[in-house]
Amino acid sequence: MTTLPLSPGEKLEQIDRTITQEQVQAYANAAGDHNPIHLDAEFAAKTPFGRRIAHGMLTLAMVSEMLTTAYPDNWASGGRLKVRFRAPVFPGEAVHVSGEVKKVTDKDSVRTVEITIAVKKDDGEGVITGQAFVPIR
Amino acid sequence: MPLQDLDPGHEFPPESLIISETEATAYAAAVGDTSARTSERVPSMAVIAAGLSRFIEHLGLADGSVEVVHTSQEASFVRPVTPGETLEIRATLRSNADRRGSRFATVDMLFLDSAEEQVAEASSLIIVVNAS
Repeated sequence: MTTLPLSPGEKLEQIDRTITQEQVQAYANAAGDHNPIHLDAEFAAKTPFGRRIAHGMLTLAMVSEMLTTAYPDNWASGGRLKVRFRAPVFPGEAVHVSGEVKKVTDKDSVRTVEITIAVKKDDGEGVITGQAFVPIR
Repeated sequence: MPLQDLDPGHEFPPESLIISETEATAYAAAVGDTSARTSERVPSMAVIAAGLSRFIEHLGLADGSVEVVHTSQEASFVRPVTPGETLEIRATLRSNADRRGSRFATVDMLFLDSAEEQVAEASSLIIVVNAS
């Protein structure tokens, strides 16, 4: 039986993954988001980013995956998150998805774990920051 | 109707969303999630992603005529969604403002099951650059 991360300071199992253009294309097909900023090199070259970027929701999916792994019966049944997309991820870049228990509160017989979310690149640049809240029933 | 013509509070027509096991599996593969049990449940964020994609598509923001940047996201989940389950998306434009030539819009989405019970909720802030 897996032990749930419930103590302040405890870290969730980190996800380290390199995002490829093939993955971005596959995500566009799967999620139905075909915005050319993700897929069309010529279009993307004319944007301030200068090249194609991964979908923010692709990276956020990894955050949800981390929370599902850490809280298999709780995240999808009452979990919530609030995040900001701080920087684009360019295909070929690695991202490191991490979470750390910030605090645990008890209210109305429900224990809620607050987790600080961070997604960073190799150089430490922040891609996503935010909080997640997982009820433990 | 173009985004700039919509007032805050605008309610989009409800629409149906079904994510099949095949689609859920494709989504999990695309994001690199090898632990997802897509025969039993749709990855949580796949539901939100599908809803957001619909919204962007309906507003004509995915055709390359404008640059769309997704800047923040909120999501909450009531229960897992089963592959093949029929959901209804009810989307409302919470805010829609011009700032220095770019349009900042927040869309709220409710995902309901066939019993009209909420299964998920989301709020997305997007910026349409130089769109006004």
